[in-house]
Amino acid sequence: MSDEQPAENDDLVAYLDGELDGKARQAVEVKLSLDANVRTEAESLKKVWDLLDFLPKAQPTASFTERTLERLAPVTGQMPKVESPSQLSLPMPAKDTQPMPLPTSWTKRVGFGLAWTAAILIAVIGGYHGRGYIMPPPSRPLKNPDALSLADLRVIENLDWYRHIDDYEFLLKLEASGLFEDTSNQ
Amino acid sequence: MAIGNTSAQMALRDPDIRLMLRVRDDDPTAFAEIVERYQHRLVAIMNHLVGNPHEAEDLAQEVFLRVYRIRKKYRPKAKFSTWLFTIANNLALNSRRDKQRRPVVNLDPQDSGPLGPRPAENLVAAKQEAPSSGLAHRELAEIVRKALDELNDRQRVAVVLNKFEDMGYAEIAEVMGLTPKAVKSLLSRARARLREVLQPYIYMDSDAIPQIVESEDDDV
Repeated sequence: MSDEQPAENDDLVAYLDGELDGKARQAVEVKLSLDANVRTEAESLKKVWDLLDFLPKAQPTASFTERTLERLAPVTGQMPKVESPSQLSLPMPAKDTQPMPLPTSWTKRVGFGLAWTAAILIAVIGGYHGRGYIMPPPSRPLKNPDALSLADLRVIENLDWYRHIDDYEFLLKLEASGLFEDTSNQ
Repeated sequence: MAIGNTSAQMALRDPDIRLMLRVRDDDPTAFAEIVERYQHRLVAIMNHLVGNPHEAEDLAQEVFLRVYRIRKKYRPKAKFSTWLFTIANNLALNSRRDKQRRPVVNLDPQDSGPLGPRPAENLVAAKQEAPSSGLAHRELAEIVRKALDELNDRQRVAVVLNKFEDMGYAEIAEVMGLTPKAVKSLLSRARARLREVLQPYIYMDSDAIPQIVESEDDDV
């Protein structure tokens, strides 16, 4: 196809772009089915178009919105509010005059701390009072002084002798010396 | 501010029109939302038009600033994106005209001067992508970029809007202030010009697949 047929070229490109309908579309389809050159032409136009996909797609920098609004400040004298992208798609709430609720994470942390403090206090108080019921304190005086353990009876009986002894090592040495051997065997 | 019946119907169909009407009524959060929604598309389109990401971002910002400045005059007569890209088109064309009048030297921080790139710069570039495929892809992108620069300004805008914004001829016509028939002709010539430049880089289905010729040394 040459430059002498610009209208035909226009129709072929428009056909490839899906912009033709009715008779114009049918006319191009007939030409495509009958003429190999037209088919080659269409193919090359399509492939060239596909090459445009190789162009890199530029992305705005992360601070684009912020910087745009900063540039706007001299125009307006104030900065329009910037919200996070997740909030931006939400419907706008009515003007809020109530105090701002605390962030959820903060309230959670305080609640958790209070619960732990209460649990520790209950454990300490309960433990202190509960212990009195389970075992008597060691310094509590005996209700019946005669109820001494029989295991201590021998010590009590020989208390006068024990008063003359300095310590337990002395007794061991005395035994080792064999001085009371005969007496102990009797 | 009250809006007419037609405007109200359009606003109901297009949520971005509703957003822009909030901007018009000085809702401070609506403008930031518009910037968030459209920045990716605008920066990408501007980059295709001017071929420089930094300049593209500056121009995209300028588009948003202009939207804000003329917000009080906004009347919804078309899709919001059509209106936005009309502003973008005007700014991009003005920018290119200014550049042609006052050519500037690009002081890209990655430029390394007359001695070429430093070894460290080569290493950084090499880390970005696989050596062979990355290079081929980059080279081809460069060639396609140059082919796009071969088009005149109006052809380039029509191609970019059609290809990357998926706009039909009627919408492109509205953005560019032309008739759909003029857009049809513009795109046809643009494609023909692109094919002239890129012909060596396309493989037709009828082409033979290039054979790898083994060297004689391998046979020994």
